[in-house]
Amino acid sequence: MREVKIKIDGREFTATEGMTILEAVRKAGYEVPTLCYHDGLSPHGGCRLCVVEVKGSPRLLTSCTTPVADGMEVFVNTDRVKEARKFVMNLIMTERNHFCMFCEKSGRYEETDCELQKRAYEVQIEHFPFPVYVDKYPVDTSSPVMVTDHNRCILCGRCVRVCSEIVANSTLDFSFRGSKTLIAADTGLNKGESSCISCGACMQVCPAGAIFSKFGGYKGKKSLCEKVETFCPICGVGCETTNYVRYNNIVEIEGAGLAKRTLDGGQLCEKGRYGPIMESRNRISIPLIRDAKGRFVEATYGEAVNKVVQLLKANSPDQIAFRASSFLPAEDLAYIKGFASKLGVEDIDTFDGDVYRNLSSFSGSKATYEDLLNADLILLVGGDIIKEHGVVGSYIRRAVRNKGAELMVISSMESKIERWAKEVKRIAEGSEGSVAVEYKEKISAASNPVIVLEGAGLLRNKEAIEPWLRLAEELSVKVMALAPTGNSLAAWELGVAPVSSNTLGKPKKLLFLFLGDIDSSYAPAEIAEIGYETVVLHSAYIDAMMKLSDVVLPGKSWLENEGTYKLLNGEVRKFTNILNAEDNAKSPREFLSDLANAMGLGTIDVSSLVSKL
Amino acid sequence: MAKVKVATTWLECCSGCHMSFLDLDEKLVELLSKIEFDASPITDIKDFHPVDVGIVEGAVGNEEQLEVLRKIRENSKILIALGDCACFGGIPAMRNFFDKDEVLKRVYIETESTVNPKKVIPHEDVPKLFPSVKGIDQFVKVDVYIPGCPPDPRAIEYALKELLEGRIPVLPPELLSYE
Repeated sequence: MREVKIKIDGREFTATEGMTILEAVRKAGYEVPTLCYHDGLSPHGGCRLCVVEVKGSPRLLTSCTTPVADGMEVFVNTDRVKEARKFVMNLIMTERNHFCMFCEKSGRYEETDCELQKRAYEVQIEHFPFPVYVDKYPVDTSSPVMVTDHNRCILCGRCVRVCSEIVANSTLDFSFRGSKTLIAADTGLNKGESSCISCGACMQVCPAGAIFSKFGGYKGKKSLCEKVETFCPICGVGCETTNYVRYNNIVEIEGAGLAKRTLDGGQLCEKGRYGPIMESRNRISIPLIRDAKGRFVEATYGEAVNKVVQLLKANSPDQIAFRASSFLPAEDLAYIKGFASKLGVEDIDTFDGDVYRNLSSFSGSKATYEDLLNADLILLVGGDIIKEHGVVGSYIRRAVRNKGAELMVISSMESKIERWAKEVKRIAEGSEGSVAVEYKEKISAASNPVIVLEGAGLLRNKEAIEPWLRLAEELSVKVMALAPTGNSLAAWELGVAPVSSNTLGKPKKLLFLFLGDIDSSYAPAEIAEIGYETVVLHSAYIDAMMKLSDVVLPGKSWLENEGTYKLLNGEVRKFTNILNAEDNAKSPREFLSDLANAMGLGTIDVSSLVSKL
Repeated sequence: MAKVKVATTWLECCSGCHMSFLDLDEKLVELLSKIEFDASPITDIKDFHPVDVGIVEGAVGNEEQLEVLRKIRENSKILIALGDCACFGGIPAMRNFFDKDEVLKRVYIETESTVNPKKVIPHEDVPKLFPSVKGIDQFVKVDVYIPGCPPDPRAIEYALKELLEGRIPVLPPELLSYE
């Protein structure tokens, strides 16, 4: 790219050809106020707030859409510019309802959550010089996660652009004209009934109070919150997040990648953005021990540890089994493995161990996200990708929309991805494998085909995925297997899920169950069916397994448990805890280390194992 | 030097802006060496007399309020709109999104705490309600605006001190507030 020389307020700077004036001006350290512009989205030039004076141009130019040219002389803060900005802000503020005092995003200059209000303070608006337009616009509360108040909308189009350019779902667009213009879902439906996937990207970019969370209201302004930068480990995609925390509560979660222009574009899915905030299960807060009459009695942590020591001493290693959620950090998983080895216990597995056991026979190559973006044929087999791995769903949509890829969905359940599919095959759950051969010809004809195997239900079922894997090997098709939980890959590589399932599934006397955040209904059904005599349950939340348990220990939730995760693409990342746990809640590694001390098993070193991931 | 005469009044509002005024605390004592209050809810003087500065809290929603507003305007050299209601219409302007009759029916007949078996909506001996609530600058000339719900006492102090120095105040962003 060629360098060009420009002058900003009389000082000389170099800029790169192709840059907009706004980019060049901000790079040079000057500030120009913007509203409809958003880093990471295409420029729109709608709000006219970013106007600047350019020598030789009779009118003011929008800096966000005008490219720099060699020798250009720009003035960013002249009286003419300032006057124009104030005029523009006055027009925006008098159209629709911008009475800040009854908007939850409103605040004083230093603390407001509203960009519109902040800009208004900056141009020092202290009254509305034009008559206020008081027509009533609809308020759409039909989405399960967010409210759209059209009265607060300034029609900047950020939501429309993020929905189309980043999420690639194109639910939102403008409808009607002039003062009647509305941001509409599917050109006229309520959001809750539309193709909206509740990812909340529009909510994150809305500069006014028009789209806001149903859960964040009145929990505190973001400026009053502590900001925790980390990633979301729920599904293994590992989207970067900014978490706003106040009084040990999450107020809002935002995708951090939008301005950074990462591959995912700073998206999150419904599960990642709202899941932790919507969590409604009750926590286990006190250790419980079942007494002789079969009732739970509250115990101290020490008493519970002693009780577990007694149980361990009363059972031989071949009568003990360990089951752990693969959503736990690698440190916990390695500790569980290490502890079991010290005891000599062989029966250890994760809830989704079958996934990688089934996949281990696959000798073909794995598809990356880039492969998906460049695919011309995508076969999506299994569960609902929008619910399970929402952001990967956007890569599929981008391939379909931007590259004209064909999407074939082979699934037992409905999904909102299907409106992008060329063909949908609805078949009974478990029989996905039976139709694989039918696609042989289609795949052979494609130049960049990718097979996506989605979800726990499918991947745990050997019969359902085997034909697809063999087909992929035969035709050298790349496969993307989307495992159900965040750390499945680490669990597999650490050997917590064994390669062979021969040692598993035989009736044992004592079971250690580490649920973490996972509800036991996601664990394989055998756990409840095998009929262990005694169960030690370690869980963050009240769970149905408690009725079969003899000792219950409060665990940390993933939000409180720092640790290492290995993402689906093989990247290893360290998760920073977002919240602080209560004293009683321990991570599995803290609990097992106390147990190891009480039994005199010595130290168990997991750092070397984790560092090898 | 003679003290600067100040009159204040409140129209359709909650009196919170006057409370914010009183929130100047000891600075109010300092100010009182330079200003004196004439007609004001603070002094309880009801009749307006010519003053240097008139301060109005609240929006205009009925006939009586408009009359009071016109009186204080006529008697003031400089008129200040104090608070969001006076500047924009504020919380009372929320009723603009509904029809006037709908609002009266809701307030006098339907609210859960109302006992009005004869379903009477008062219309005699009460000021006539306007169809919509507006900021005071829709009716009279306003010289200074101090928005906020309520305005920060520092903003009120800043504005009055600027006026005492002979300047028309322009509030910096930090002292502006629309909430």
